Amino acid sequence: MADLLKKEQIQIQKTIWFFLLMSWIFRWWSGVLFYQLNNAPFVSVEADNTFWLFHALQFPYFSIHYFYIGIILDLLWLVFAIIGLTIKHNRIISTLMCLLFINYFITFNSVSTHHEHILTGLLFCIILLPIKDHKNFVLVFASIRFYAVFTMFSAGLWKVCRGSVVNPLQMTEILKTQHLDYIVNYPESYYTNFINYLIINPNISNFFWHCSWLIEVAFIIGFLTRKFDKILGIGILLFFFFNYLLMDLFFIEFCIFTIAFYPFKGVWDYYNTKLAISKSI
Amino acid sequence: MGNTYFYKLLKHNMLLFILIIGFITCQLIFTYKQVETTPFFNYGMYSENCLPKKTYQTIAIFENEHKIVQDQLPVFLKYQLRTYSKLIAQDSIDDVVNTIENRFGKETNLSNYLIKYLTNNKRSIKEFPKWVEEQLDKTKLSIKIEYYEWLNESFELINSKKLH
Repeated sequence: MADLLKKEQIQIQKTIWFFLLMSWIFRWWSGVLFYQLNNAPFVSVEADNTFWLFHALQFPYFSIHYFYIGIILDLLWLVFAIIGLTIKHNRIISTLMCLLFINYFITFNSVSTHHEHILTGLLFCIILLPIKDHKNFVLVFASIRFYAVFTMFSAGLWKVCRGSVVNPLQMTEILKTQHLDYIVNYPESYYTNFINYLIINPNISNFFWHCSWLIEVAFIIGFLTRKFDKILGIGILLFFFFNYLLMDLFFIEFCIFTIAFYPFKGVWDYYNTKLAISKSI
Repeated sequence: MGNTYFYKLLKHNMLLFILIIGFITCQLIFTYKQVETTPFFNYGMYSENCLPKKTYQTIAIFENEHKIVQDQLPVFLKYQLRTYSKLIAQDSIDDVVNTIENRFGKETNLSNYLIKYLTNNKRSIKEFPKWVEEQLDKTKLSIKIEYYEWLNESFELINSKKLH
């Protein structure tokens, strides 16, 4: 069991390093690495106290206002990701990567002036990188699985509390706001016709809205059992595939959470047996 | 009960148990207050009620009156454009300035320091059009807000306002 767990722990950590590398490439292509955000005029800290602290300590300021610091931070991310993928566990590099990523998360969201959740999957999963001890790794992995369940289920719950799940025009209004630019700039395209069709047929767009809500609330089962984890993992992928198709939201980095629903035999056997508390204790 | 997740945490790693209980408590507080402080996020995912609007607005960049299509712009530039338009509408006053002054007083050293690093000022607004030109490697750009109405199953431009 220990060998299988060790193998799976390495697999999970390498997958996270791979996502970090892909994220770097995707962000370079999107033009949002530190050096590409150089001298961005506006920031938005909103009411986030952690953002306030980071900005007061000037970490985002140095990252975006000093071009060469930005370049160095970008290169460090790339080099750490490559090292993490190729060599054995290294706690110092893993810890530095975590700090680097937290700084990027805060700086990017500040400069976007819109605090997105697109990177929260990676933000939580990178906690697994510095951990070497099997017991702690399994406990933290189980915690991240519960957090992934929470992210999806709470989204469904917010829609109930705010009443948007029963709003008959919710999806059509989201589509109008989301695609206004595309529709006015490409009035004849197939995609515009598709989105227009959904806007003028609220019953069909609501079908997608309610299906996505059902996927979200179905995650409540994840708090009670791991029996349906494969379905929940597919649920996340489906949810974000349709998000991309209908809303043009590309949440690939968030999908790292699906790793928590993969049935790692070694990890969960260890969780069920080695971490089990006998009744005599 | 003996083999629940929390019990395992408690028995095998007390520090992690305390951290997770602390995390859950803070998450519940921030969820109740409907605000976010990293890493306590509220995953609304478009849960705010969207009602039909009279007008829908977007910000467009023009080069010699020729519109630059928004999907050719970097994503973060679109967000910067929105902030530019919002600040102009608010007479160049960043909301965060008021929050800082309410918390730490007016004209105090701490307030002045925080305002410098946490907020946007008139200089940023003035320099923004030039920065956009550098980003797009173009000159003589103008920025406009366009107002659309949803009429006869399509968007119709009803008005526009020049910001720069």
